[in-house]
Order: sequence, then C-alpha cells, then structure tokens
Amino acid sequence: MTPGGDEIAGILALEPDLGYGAYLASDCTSCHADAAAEGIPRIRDLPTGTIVAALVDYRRGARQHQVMETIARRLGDEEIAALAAFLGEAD
Amino acid sequence: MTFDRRTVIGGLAAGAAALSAPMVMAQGVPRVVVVGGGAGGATAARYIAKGSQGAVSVTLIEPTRRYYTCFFSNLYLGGLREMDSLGHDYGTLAAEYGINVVHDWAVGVDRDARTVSLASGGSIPYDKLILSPGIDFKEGAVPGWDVTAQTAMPHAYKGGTQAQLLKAQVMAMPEGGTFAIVTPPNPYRCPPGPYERVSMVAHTLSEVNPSAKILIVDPKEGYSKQALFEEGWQAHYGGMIERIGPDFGGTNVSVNPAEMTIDIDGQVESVDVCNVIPAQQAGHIVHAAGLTDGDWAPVNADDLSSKTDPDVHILGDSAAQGDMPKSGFAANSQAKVCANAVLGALTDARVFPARFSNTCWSLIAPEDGVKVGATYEATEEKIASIDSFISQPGEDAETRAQTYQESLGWYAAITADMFG
Ligand SMILES: Cc1cc2nc3c(=O)[nH]c(=O)nc-3n(C[C@H](O)[C@H](O)[C@H](O)COP(=O)(O)OP(=O)(O)OC[C@H]3O[C@@H](n4cnc5c(N)ncnc54)[C@H](O)[C@@H]3O)c2cc1C
Repeated sequence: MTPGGDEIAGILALEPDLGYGAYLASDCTSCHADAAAEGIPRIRDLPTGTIVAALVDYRRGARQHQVMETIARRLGDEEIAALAAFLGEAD
Repeated sequence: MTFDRRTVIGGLAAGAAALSAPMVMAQGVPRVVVVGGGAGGATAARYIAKGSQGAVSVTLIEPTRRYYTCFFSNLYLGGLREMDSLGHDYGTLAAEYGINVVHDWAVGVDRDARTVSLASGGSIPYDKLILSPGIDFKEGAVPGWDVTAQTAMPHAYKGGTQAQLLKAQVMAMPEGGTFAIVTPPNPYRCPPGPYERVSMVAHTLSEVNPSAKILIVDPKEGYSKQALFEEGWQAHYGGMIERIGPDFGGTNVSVNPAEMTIDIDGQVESVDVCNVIPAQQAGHIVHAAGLTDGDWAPVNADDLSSKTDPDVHILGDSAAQGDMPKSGFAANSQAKVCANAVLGALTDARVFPARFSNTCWSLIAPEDGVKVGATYEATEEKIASIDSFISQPGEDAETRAQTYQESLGWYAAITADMFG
C-alpha cells in the first residue's frame, strides 16, 4: 500500500451521501468552474478514486497547495466520500 | 386582485394551524424575493431556483441590467482586463433558472405585510426575503466629499462607470503628477482592495508616466497583506508610492474637489487625481427595513437570518456576521448556506450544517499574485474562522505567477456560480 492508501481505501468503502455531497460541492464551485478554465483545474467527472486521493493527500499535507490544504483539513472521511461520489464518476 | 396573506390567515378560524404551515397554505408556491443581484444576491437566487426545481418562486430585484464586478476592476485600472469582460447580465438566470428578474430599485420593506416596494410603484410579496445590496457610503465621512463630488474625486468602489472615470483620470495625469487615494477605516468592502488598486495604478503609471507619484492617505495603523504589498511595491515601483498613516494625520483628512486639494492634518496638498473611498455602511435598503444596529445588520451565523426578523436574511457586505471579510467570495459562500436554509424552511429539502470559505487574491504587478484565505463555521455568536493561510514574502516568481493564474480561474468560476 502507498502512504495514505489505507485511508483512501477506507473512504472508498463508505456509503456516500449524495445529497450531502451536492451541498459540499457548492463550496468547490466558487473556484472550480464546470467549463475548462485557466489556473484552476476542472474537477467534475474525474474518477472517484482520483478525487478521494487528492483530498486525502491535501489533508495530510502530502500534496501542497495553501487553499486546498486548508479546505481539505476540515473534511472528514464522510465528507470526502460524499464529495467524490457527487463530483466524480465511478472508476 | 392581489392575494393578501394576512387577510387569509386572519380570516381563518384555525389560525394556529395556518401559521404552522404558512408557506404552503398561503399560496401553493412559496415566494422568495432577493434584493440585489451581486455576489450574494445572484448566487442565492440561482441556488434557490436550482435547488427547488420550480417548487419555490424566486424574484430578483436589481436595478442594473448589467452587473460590473468590483472584483478585477483594479486589473482594469492596470490595463490587464477590458471593462467589457467584467460585465455580466441576468439573461441566463431568467431563461434557464426561471427567476423573475425585476430591473428596479427596492425602496422599502414592510416586514409586517411581508412586501417589498419598488421605485416604479407596486410591491412584491414574500415569504422569505434576502437582502444583499452591498455597501453605501457614510455621509460626511471625508469632509468636503459627497456624491456630487464623485466626478472630480471618484470612489470607484462600486462597479463600472466610476472605475472607467478613474482610469481616464489616471491616463490624463500630467507628467510627474500625483495620484492620491484616501482609504476607508475598517470595516469596509474588500480589505486589500485599496492596496491592490495602488499596485495596479502604479503599474499603469510606471508604463505611461514613470515620474508620477502615488500618495496613500490611510486612517488605519495597518492593512490586509501589508508586508506583501510593501515588499512588492519596493521591488516593482521603488520610490513611487508614499503612505501617510494615522501617526502623520491619516485620520484627519478633508478634501476640496473644486481646488483638487487634500488637507492632511492641516497640510494642504495639490493633487492631480484623488480617489476618495469613504467609510461604509450597509446598503440603504437594509437600514430602511429596520434591520441594522449601527452601520451593519447583525445576522445569525447558521443561516444569515437577521437577528431582528427570522424571515429576512442579509448577505455579503451589508451583514455583520463575524470573522469573514466583506468580499465577493464571502458573499457567494454565505449565499449558498442561506439558500440551503431557505430551501429547508420552504420545502422538504435537507438542511446541512453551515460551512464557509474565503480566498482573496490580489495582484501586485503582472504575474505577481498573492492570496489570503480561511475556512469558517457557524457558532452561536458569529461566523468564526477555523483555519487560514496567506502568501509568504519572498516567494519565487513561479509561485506568484501561478497564484495570479488561479485568480483568473476563480473569476471565471465565481461569475458562473453567480450568473449561471
Ligand atoms: C476595487 C474592488 C476590488 C475587489 N476585489 C475583490 C476580489 O478580488 N475578491 C473578492 O472576493 N471581492 C472583491 N471585492 C469585494 C466585492 O466586490 C464585494 O464584497 C461583493 O460584491 C459584495 O457582494 P454583495 O452581494 O454584498 O454586494 P454587490 O455585489 O455590490 O451587489 C449588490 C447589488 O445590489 C444592488 N442594489 C443595491 N441596492 C439595491 C436596492 N435598493 N434595490 C435593488 N438592488 C439594489 C446593486 O445594484 C448591486 O448590483 C472588491 C471590491 C472592490 C471595490
């Protein structure tokens, strides 16, 4: 397992709350546009696992970005699962 | 005949039963009225319309047909953005979201009758009212300045026209002339805004009028991202910018628009351009509705409802909510929490715990962007900051360029989040 891998697998095994995910995702759309934009990547329709891995890595500081680390630090496992299920596509 | 809810409720024998489900009983479809189609209001209208799928009627009252964002108006002053690219209209909100967009001024709120009156006459009934009118200036804040002086000495702190005027004045400055900016006391809209403006004016002047001077007259001890701005000004515009703070009279300032002079604690300076950003308060309609305590409207942190009236929510710059700065990002963030709460009150939608975030990007020079931001939660007392970050002095050029690129992405995203 890669570092963070257990965490990611655990989150992917949770039953996601899609309604909660929709609400949480409204925090993302302030910066992440649906249309392809410069400067900030589009996050919709990425594989679910990619979104979970990114948020876990930001949360534990393995991936660096001031805004995303701050956002991810307040996401619990349930929240990451809900967000990824709402935004992403099952892989 | 218009439908009068009070009469209906009053006329019912089972008054209590009617009150327990007033939205449904009164009118089939509950009615939300939003005043102000800016960062807070447009977002709230869009999220309520989108979330209710026709189960709630949404009316948006906004006088202008095209909203020019204040955000990025400094980049326009810096020659990095066209004014056209800052304008957004309400067509999509009307056509795709079914929002009733009324281009008019709200001039009064009757909170007993639950109606909003319009400048053109007539009134619109509501079950829930959302006010997001932004700021107005405090009269007499800078002696000598009032709305009749804003051509000679523009504020350029509301979108569009005034920014165009200020830009024209900067371009017409005599060689080696002085651009003065009188900044407001806290709290005011966009804490780094005046200093980003100084940066962008300095950038323009360094290209067209490099011997010009910039004079900041500031009533505050310190300001947002100060170390970052000062470092950047030194690096990019060495010697062009001078700041007079409270120690040297920055709190004792008056202006004479006819003479184009500024009196700083008895010292009279002649200037060529004078950008006066007066002290601010909640938009007039919030005062008219009787929802302010002093300059701003106190709100509950979990749903932005007024502390005076649970059926009125106040968003964005006008609200006294706690730790969030008065920014477009914050207004947009608050609007989504408010929309969720309003949908929960009017329909069977689920209500989730309030959560907020903010990031304010500022541009010091082309490709030299910095940012500050935080996450927030609702406590009993206020919207409270839980975690934060800020750009660091001495960051490399690549980081700064990336930060600037991010701000472009943010602008595209937030305006899509507001206007669809
Ligand atoms: C120079 C400058 C730079 C800025 N840069 C940034 C930035 O980079 N990032 C950021 O997040 N924020 C920035 N801001 C701040 C941002 O513009 C405001 O905080 C934000 O617009 C507040 O949103 P709001 O909904 O409260 O008000 P607004 O967006 O101002 O919207 C208010 C709307 O209400 C309407 N209105 C007012 N009264 C009435 C009435 N009686 N009836 C009907 N309609 C009415 C107005 O026409 C207006 O359209 C900047 C501001 C300035 C001045």
